[in-house]
Amino acid sequence: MRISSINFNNIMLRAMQDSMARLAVTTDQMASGKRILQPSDDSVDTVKILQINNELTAIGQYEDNIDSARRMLQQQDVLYSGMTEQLRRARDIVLQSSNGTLTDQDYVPLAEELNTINQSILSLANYQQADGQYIFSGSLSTQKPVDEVAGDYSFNGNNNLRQVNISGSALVTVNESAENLFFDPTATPPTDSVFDALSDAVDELRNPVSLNTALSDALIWIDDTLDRVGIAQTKAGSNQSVLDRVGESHADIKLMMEKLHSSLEDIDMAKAATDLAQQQTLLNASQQVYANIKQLSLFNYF
Amino acid sequence: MSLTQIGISGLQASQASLNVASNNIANAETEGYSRQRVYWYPTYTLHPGIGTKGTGVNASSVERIANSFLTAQMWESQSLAEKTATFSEYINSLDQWLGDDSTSLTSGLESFFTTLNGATVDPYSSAARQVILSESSKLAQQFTTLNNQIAGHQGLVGRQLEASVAEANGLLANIAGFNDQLKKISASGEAANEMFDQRDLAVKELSKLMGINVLEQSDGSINIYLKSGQPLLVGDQRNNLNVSGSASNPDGFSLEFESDSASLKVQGDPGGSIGGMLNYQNGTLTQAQNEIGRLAVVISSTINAQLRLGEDVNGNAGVDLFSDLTNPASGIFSLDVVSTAVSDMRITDSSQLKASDYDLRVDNTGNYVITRLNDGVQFSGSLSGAGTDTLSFDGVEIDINGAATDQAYRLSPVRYGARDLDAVLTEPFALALAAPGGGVADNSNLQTIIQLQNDALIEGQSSLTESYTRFIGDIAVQTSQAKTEADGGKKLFEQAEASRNAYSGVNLDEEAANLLRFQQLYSANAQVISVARQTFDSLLRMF
Repeated sequence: MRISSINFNNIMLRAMQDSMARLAVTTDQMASGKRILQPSDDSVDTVKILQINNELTAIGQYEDNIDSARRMLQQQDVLYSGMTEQLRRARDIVLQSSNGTLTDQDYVPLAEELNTINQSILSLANYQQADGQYIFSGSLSTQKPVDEVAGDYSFNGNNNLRQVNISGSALVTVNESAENLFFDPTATPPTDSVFDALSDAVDELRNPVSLNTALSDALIWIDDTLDRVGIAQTKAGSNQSVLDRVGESHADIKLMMEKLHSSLEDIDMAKAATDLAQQQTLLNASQQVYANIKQLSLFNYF
Repeated sequence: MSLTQIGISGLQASQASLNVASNNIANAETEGYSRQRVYWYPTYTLHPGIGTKGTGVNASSVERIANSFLTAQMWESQSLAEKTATFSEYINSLDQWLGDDSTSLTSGLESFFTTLNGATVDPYSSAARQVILSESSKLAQQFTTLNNQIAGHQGLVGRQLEASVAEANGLLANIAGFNDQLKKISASGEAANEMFDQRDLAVKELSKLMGINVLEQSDGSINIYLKSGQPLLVGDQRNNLNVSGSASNPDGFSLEFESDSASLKVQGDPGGSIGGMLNYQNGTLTQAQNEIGRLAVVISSTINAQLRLGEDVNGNAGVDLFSDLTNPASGIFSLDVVSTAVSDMRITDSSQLKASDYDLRVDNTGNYVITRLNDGVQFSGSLSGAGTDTLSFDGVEIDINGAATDQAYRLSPVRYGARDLDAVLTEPFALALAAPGGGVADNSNLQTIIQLQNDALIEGQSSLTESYTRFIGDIAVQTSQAKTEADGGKKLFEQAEASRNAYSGVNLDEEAANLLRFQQLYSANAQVISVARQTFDSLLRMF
């Protein structure tokens, strides 16, 4: 075939441009560390990567939720321990008061201490977070859960317990209601709560009329409440271990996803380096060929 | 005839050939130049018959070595190469934005739902609520940004179309001028080799801009037609091209053919870079705008609807978080002045929405056809003849005058969704995250909203992110396909250009050899003259 000089130039220029373009892509890939620089480089893997990113973001959020839930449960754990401690001391006082050897005079300090304990349990039940929300009022978190009107204690929250997503399928309950802990909705007033029972006991210790009944009622309420708080604390504890387990599996999945992500998106450096060297050689070769062939001309023999 | 005269004719012929060879060498790198050759033929013999004697050589005709078939093939492949290259460049940059993490809607959707998820822990917290509001505006902003980029490309297509059409009109004027001169020259019987080259080069430039059919005339001029048949240039009679429309037009920009009598829209694919741009505008950009528009409409309508079912911190019924996009009045385009019958368009079921525009035609007897433009599916029927009719299709309803006839509309229910999406709620405590009566720290309505992330909200088949991811994948596939086509188009053009150049291009070695040949020939002819002189001298010496 007849080759015109312009053809020849075009062929050589195109060869050099193509090599340069390939070199530019490899350089770009090596500089960014990414094999896929834009979706069209690999549409199938791009879609996979987007899905993985999606899952990684979701896992990130679940991990944040787990952290927040853990903080809440830990805080409740501390409150439960405080309640238990106070209830135990109240139990001691009630038992001490019911042994029959004490005088009315002896009851006075015990009454004062029991009253203080009752207020202290009440303040734990009405515990407010830094932002003013009450922990134990269900979803009515702006209402004080336990209120006292004229010596009568009532629950003002609800039992709408909050569940938080900690994975695509798992939910964990992060609060407890004061009603579940301190009240018995089936009992009849005035002794439908441990606060009422303790308050009655304090009144009787100050001014005994039917002290023994009040003390035995109080003991039943104290023991019952210790059980309820204990159960709530165990629940909070087991919820924390659920958080730990789910958190670990998130970490595992995240690691796997990141590996997969990297295998899809990241460049194989060794291969890229080989490619780069090969492309350089090719460009070099075509440049040399061009320079050499350019010198071949019949005009050189004139 | 004398030896001297024969020698002189040879000298002149070799000189002419030397001139042509030099001219070829000078133009070796000139684009569009066709090599030339001197044709030698013997001069008329004297006394034909017995005792014939030659009278020398004539080399007055300089031929241009060109093959009209190869040239036409080059023009044809040039149009294809430019069309595919232009389309590929545009779609490639769309592919780049869509894949860019900073503008990608996937990340926006993710952070939005992530923030909602985060608020489940403490739904009363004003901080968590404020974050939801700011993520909502960010998401709306991302939609707007993406829509602006699309609108920007529409504007760019428009400007480039206008520049290309102006260039095409200029080239047509040049070619008409060449036609005129070539006709005159060919009538006078003279050669006009360079002018043919220049004209062919202008046609080549024109074929970059659009696909053309070229018909050579016997008088040396050419006629040029669009692929769809309209005559751009017949003799020196020339018709202009024009760009009409705007980015906000129902059809964006379009190519118009203007003759003396009328201007009409060029239907179909005009080819060349203009064809590439129009394909991109009418296909990819429209698809992209409708896809993200639909996503915006679905997000706003489903999230607003769920929020309205909930209760806010103050015990009030829920209000909209995003702007209401269910009454897309700006998506109703009447295609002519008499079309005034459509009075309202509403989105009634966002889960049925398609990412498409629709054409509504009502004929002169009140029969209507609604055509879904992305796949050609039609819905048809007859208007009632009185009052207001409501037509429903794909989760959309329109109100139309029941007595209407002869109507032409373009309906784009989702086209402006992304443009018009806005986060309208500013009061964090007005977010209805609780179920009615659930209490301020209840998160059950929020849980339902979060669930929307995984629900098959798009055509009942895919979730929001799945749908967007699929769209990105689709554009990526189209892009790599476009790149392959552009490579193929380029190769095809390179081959055609190489074939044309192989035939018509200058080879320097060949010209160097010619220089040597004709130099030698020149010397030989000079020798003939010298011999003639010596012969004459010898004769004179005899006296």
